[in-house]
Amino acid sequence: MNPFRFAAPPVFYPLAGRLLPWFTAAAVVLTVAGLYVGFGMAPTDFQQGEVYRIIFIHVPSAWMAMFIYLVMAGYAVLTLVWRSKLSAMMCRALAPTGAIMAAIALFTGAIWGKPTWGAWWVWDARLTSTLILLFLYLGYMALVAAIDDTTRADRAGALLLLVGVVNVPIIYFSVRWWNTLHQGASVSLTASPKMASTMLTGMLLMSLAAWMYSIAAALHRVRSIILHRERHTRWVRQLFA
Amino acid sequence: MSDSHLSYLAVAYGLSALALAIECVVLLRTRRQSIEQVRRERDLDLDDHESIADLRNEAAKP
Repeated sequence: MNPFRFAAPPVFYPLAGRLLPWFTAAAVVLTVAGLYVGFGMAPTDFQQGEVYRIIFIHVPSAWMAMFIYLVMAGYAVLTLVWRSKLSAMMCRALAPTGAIMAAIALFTGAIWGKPTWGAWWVWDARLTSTLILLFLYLGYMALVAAIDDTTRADRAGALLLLVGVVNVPIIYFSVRWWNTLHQGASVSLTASPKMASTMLTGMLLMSLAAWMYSIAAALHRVRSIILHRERHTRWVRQLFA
Repeated sequence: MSDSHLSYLAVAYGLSALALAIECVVLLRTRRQSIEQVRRERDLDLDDHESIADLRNEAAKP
């Protein structure tokens, strides 16, 4: 079986439709489980009290905001090198969800910062680079919407994504490179976690839920984009015959 | 759970849920609009084809 055949919109469209309910259901189940563990089982933090429970939405959304941008940059390479139509559509489909994730990470961080740091916002390297990430998402969406020629818009957007991808490692390593107010990583692949296991479980469940939600939202949006772009083709017209 | 912490949590989760709910509503609306656009343009094309066929039939009449 040739995996590249899934890059063809007539093949991908029904596949996305079949996958969509599964990812949606997984997102709902994992969110319920994550909130149950996060609010019902995880202990109170001895320093921060109850307000630390914001991490169950803050950390997954921040991770997703960075990860979605990396995925978009990957699709941008495919768009520029192989001129794959579906890759450009996936970039457009992922951008709003990435922007929402970045916005959620920023405002939940601000709400956590007020009782913990005593300030809603500080021009800390981690916060500032995440704000730049949000602007990159918004800039990408504005750019592709401003150019009428779809192919040119896709290529210009892909270039912007590739230029902006340098910001992702800056966000990730900012807490190591600079002396930041934002705390360092509590979860790492190379070190044992610095939190109670139930806290970690709740956070990982919510992170998985954010993954499932983002995939479901992107699949849903890309189906609309495919319909819009391919609306004059025979296969789309036959879908609604 | 202290009241002030509870209100911070409520605002954080409430705003997040609102943001995601808005995205879901927009997603559903965009999908509906895309389907309507496909149907509308297909019907217009069908009308055009029928009109052309009518004209051809008229022209073919002796």
